[in-house]
Amino acid sequence: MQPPSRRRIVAVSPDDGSAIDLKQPEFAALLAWFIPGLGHFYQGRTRKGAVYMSVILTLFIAGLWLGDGRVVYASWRPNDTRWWFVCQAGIGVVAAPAIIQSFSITGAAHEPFWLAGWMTPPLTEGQLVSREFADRLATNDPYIFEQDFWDRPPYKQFRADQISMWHHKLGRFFELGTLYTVLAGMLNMLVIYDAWAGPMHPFVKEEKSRVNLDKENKDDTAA
Amino acid sequence: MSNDGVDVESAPTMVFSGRRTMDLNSSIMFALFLENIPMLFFSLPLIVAASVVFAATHHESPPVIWRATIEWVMWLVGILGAVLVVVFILSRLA
Repeated sequence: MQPPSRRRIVAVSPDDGSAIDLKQPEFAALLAWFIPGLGHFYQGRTRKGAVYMSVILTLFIAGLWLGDGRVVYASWRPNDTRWWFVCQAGIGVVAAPAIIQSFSITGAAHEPFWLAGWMTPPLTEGQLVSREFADRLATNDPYIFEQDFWDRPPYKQFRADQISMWHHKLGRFFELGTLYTVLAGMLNMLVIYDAWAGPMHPFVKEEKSRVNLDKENKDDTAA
Repeated sequence: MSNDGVDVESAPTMVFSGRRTMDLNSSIMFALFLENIPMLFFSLPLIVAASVVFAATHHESPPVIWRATIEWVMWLVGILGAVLVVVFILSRLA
């Protein structure tokens, strides 16, 4: 028996019965959460990793594009709790900017880390923001004007509801983008499981093959 | 004949027969269905992506994964299509 440090953890391929070296399954699962498919690359299952990475990242980026970069944000305010983000966070580091933006805009700076505003939670009525960010919004966002802010030195106070503006601008694409990104995050949960435990064995097929084997054995003994 | 000289009995009425109301409902439902075709189009990438991932989590060899993907697509389209038909029929009955 090998010592624990040298023991190999393998899964069995349901297609040809070959062994799949899972290396360190927990580490592979962590990598798979971090970037979809990365855990499989670490395990040497490169083609499968490439399939996962391309499918899930494409789905997530398509959702972001449909939602104009607004649909992925982290917000736990009483009037704007974004539960969808729990599912979106399943995609790992790609959703991490939303957390940074959320902490940044609700922190002392009162402005997002990246001023372009991607993945920033929507401004709510009465929210304080930095003057620089307010001016940037008034300049670049066609839905926001200078009159939408009260002057509260050294900050400015928003006097409208940005989420309504996003819904008005994007219409059903806001929901579509949310759906795409949520599904990408949730599908990555399956990818994480695959990196941790190997492919799932279809129970029905296994039972069928066992029955067939029993029949063959009986036929052999009868012959 | 009314007091202001209008022949009430021969004037066209806005009362629809049951059949005409049904036709109107059908055309509204069909228009709503047509309006939602772009949304149906947007659901296809979701179905394909989910099918690829479902298939890949059950198999290891790429040719088998692609075959299983097609099976999953057919299952998902069938199930979601059946749900759509049921919702459509229920909305017509309501």
